[in-house]
Amino acid sequence: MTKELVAALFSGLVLGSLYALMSMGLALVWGGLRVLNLTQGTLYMLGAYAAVLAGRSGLSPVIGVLLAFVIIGVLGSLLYVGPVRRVSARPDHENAVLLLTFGLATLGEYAALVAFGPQPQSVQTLVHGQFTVVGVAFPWNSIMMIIATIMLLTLLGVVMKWTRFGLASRALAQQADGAQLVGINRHRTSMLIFGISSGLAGVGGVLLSSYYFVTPYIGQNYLLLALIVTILGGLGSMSGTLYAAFLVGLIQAISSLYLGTRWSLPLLFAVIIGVLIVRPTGIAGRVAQERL
Amino acid sequence: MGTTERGANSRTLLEVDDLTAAYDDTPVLTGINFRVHEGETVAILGPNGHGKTTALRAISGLHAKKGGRVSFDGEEISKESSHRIVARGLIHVPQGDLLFGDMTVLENLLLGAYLPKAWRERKERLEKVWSIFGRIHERRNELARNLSGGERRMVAIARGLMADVKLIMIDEPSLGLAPVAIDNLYSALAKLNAVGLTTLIVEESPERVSGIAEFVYLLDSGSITFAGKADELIRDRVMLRTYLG
Ligand SMILES: Nc1ncnc2c1ncn2[C@@H]1O[C@H](COP(=O)(O)OP(=O)(O)O)[C@@H](O)[C@H]1O
Ligand SMILES: [Mg+2]
Repeated sequence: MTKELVAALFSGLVLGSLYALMSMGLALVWGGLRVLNLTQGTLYMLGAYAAVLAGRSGLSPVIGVLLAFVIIGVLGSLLYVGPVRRVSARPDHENAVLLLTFGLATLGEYAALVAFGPQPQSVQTLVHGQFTVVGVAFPWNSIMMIIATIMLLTLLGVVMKWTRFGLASRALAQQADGAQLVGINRHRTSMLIFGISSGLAGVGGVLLSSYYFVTPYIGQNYLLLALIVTILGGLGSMSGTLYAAFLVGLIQAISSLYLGTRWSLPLLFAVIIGVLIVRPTGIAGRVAQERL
Repeated sequence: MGTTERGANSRTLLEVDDLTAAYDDTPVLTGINFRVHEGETVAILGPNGHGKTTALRAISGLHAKKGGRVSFDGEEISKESSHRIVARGLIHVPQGDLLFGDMTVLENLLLGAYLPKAWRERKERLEKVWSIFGRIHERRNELARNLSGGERRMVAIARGLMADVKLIMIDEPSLGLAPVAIDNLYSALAKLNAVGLTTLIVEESPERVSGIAEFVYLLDSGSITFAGKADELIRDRVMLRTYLG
């Protein structure tokens, strides 16, 4: 019994890190631009296919992760420079971006369907082997996934807290006019934010591919979970998103253990509704500051 | 109209010709003209709602210009975006401060030095700014949204001074502040004036700026209706009031 619980807690952590990587992208873009980028799931899926392709061509997994970050990151930047920037001058640009990215996400999904077919594909685990403690097996691959997530998110935290770019993206989020008046190039900073968050989704996809089967549809599935995590965490808050990601992962793992997998999503929604009734702005969210 | 000679030997830094601006189809500025010479302190005065803030926002690229021409330091900047205008050294301290509320005072100031040249010199600039506004040095690790109105205003101006500034435009520095805070702020502005910083101040009434502005413009219903010395404007107004009884 406790053995199963330990195993469930562990898989909750693994799920949590997958969700954290993907939700952080949504949180970053929301934080910087006040829009939701619904292509995040599709980029995640493309990252997973990048891993499939890298695996077939015998590339080292580390190179695969780096390539996924760069390629999916560039793709995300282009997404901003092309369509998203074009609608950003509209007064209703939040909705326009929502619909636009939803459409692009669907297109990307079809493109993957055409290119790769609907059949699930699998990738060799990035790291092999496992170790056993008190009768519970801990695969090195999963450990690596948690460590990689922690490292990436720590790096991201440092960048956002201390660098000129991090200051600029927070400034843009908090006071866009004020940001422009100190010389921040709104479009260039937004493009970088899109690029970095997409790159993170790509890396998330690579990590995911060593854990689950890859199909063209996995993106939408994870997008839904990432939206849940982002809203639960308090839109745009990085620390809140992190807590929420692990909370959601653990709830899923533990409810699957005691109630069966089909209950995990309904239970998740129940928890979210509960949290949002008590704290309408999410775990770490605050009511948006009034514009001065 | 005042006819005072001014700035005969110094070059024109900011030149605004026939600037027009609107909100959708409602015209706000119907063609304003003014200039600021290097080293001067100039004020634009005018009642509430007559377009002063719109004028500054149009000049700094935050609000679309309908027509007219803005030049800075000899080059036309009418079509440039805000970040380029900032890079030229035309700095706008906006009405309402527009601070980054969830960041500390220190982070707000560092952001003032965002552009590469200022960023390299950010340490020295911080020291300079602390020496002018000692009060905010004590509060440097406080979030901007927790400051008092007077402190916020200081941070807003200090953030502007962190940039590579050639001309600073300050929109209603006295707005919403207690008289003591206003006096403190204006004595800091007078110090900056004394070291030769070119300044364009926007205020409602001439009394506030008479001690500091060498030249004032009156912006009335979207156009400039007076240009001259602040005390001339005060005299005119007194006359006007006597006439209207
Ligand atoms: N965002 C806006 N949308 C529509 N009208 C505006 C807006 N801001 C200001 N106005 C109008 O433009 C006119 C000039 O405003 P403003 O430039 O703020 O004047 P001032 O700074 O002199 O008080 C006012 O009539 C005001 O109602
Ligand atoms: Mg105003």
